[in-house]
Amino acid sequence: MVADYSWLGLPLKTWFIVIIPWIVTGILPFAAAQIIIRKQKKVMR
Amino acid sequence: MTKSLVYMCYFVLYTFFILWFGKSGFNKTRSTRDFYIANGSLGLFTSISTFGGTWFSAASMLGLTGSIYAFGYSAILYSVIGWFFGAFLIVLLANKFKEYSIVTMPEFFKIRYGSTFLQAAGGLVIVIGYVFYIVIQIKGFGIIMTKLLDIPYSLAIFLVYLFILYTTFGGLYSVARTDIINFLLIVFGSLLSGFIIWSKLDGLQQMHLQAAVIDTEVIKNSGFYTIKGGLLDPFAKGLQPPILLISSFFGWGLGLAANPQYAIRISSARDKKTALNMVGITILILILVYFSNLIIGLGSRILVPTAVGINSIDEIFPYIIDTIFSTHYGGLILISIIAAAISSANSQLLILASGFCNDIYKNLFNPSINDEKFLNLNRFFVGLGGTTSLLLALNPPASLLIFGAKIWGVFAAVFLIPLYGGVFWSKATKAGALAAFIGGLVTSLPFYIAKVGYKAITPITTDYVVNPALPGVIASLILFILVSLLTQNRGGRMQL
Repeated sequence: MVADYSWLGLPLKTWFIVIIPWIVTGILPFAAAQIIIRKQKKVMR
Repeated sequence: MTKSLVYMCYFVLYTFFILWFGKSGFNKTRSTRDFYIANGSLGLFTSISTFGGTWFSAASMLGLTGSIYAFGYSAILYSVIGWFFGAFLIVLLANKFKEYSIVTMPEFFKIRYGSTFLQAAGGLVIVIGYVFYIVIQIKGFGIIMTKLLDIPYSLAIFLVYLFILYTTFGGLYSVARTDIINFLLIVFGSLLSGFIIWSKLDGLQQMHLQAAVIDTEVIKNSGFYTIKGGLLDPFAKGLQPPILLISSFFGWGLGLAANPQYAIRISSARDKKTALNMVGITILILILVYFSNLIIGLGSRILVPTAVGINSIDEIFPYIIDTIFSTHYGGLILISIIAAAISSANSQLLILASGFCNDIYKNLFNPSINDEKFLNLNRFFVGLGGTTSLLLALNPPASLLIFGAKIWGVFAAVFLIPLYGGVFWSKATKAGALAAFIGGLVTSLPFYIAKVGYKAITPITTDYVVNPALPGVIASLILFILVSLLTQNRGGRMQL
């Protein structure tokens, strides 16, 4: 049973398909924004 | 004090704050740039507030929470992950889009491709799309006002006029100022609701263990039962199959990335750095807010396994507030849901008015119209658009989340490729953009009209197995590349 492989009561499948993509896609816009801002600062110098 | 009186106090207080904060916009608005984009002057805090307030609508607050209650984790996969990916694309867009001096998104098509037709066609899609999309906010508002003031739904939705017309008449200055209040309420209301539900549970692991065994009927007498283990399954044990979730990404995720209400916030930000940080920081805040929504939806299902006396999953959150929360907290949280509906509706009405007045009327018929007449025309169209949405809201859609995905699917099919292609691909031509726009629309439209692949997922939810945006975006991309390459030597190419 998939539910046997779980962490904090949540199936690992759900961690990999829902939780991790949720956090990654949530951080991605901020990370991308900071990279672009830093690149532009370098160009300005 | 009775429950109705407490709710009324909250409502009066909220009304006072909105009227107070909104009035400054009337004095500040002098030109079209002021009205549509606050003359590109918004600082980081205001930009985050108005971006977040516009983002977090009744679809998020009511639709998503109710869907999590019904489908569990798969509701996050259906919507939030796509939305966040769409925000990532907006960051990439912001960097270059900010360099264009525009007040509406379709205006970009005229400047980049030299196509008056494409700007007007874009305006028409915006008018039609937003007339339907604002129905979502009005329905959300109506559901809450029915609870707050204990009045019929049809009467409750008329009160929405007080707010959305007032805040929108002052243009983006008014919208942005009121969005500060609205976004603070949204974040506070969501986190407070999540905390209250969380305090009634025994931790994350117990919440999951209890959710795993739920197999009850979602809404009493609906005939829709959760499959055991479905709340924790990414695909709700077959109720939301992978193809539905993958194709919904095209509707929600790519629809968000090409959505005028977000793209134009790039233009209203003070500078490029503000625009980039606006998107990034708002999404970080929303990770927390959506986590709170997850706790509300899943935790409520454990505390109240079957909702009684309601008709749709959009009514689940207000039902839970009424059943579980104390009157004082309940009133505050209901107001925060109203804030979510108002803050999205006023931004959307502004975009709707710009679609007709700027992209169709001024662009095609009267380019030299003076600012005063033009502003009055916009205000008239705000009223007309709001009224049309209001009439449509008398017969509201069954699920806000699914209805929203359909409309954003149209935006993805027609705007995404000409917009991003125009910004990032120097070989893009006017003919390629026209082919992408028309091809995307023509490919996806039969799905909407003939309802191809539109099936009952459960007794109370019906959705496209393949969102029309999927074939629409693919056709749009192929046509864009092929036609642009074929028309390279005909003077269609523009250097960026």
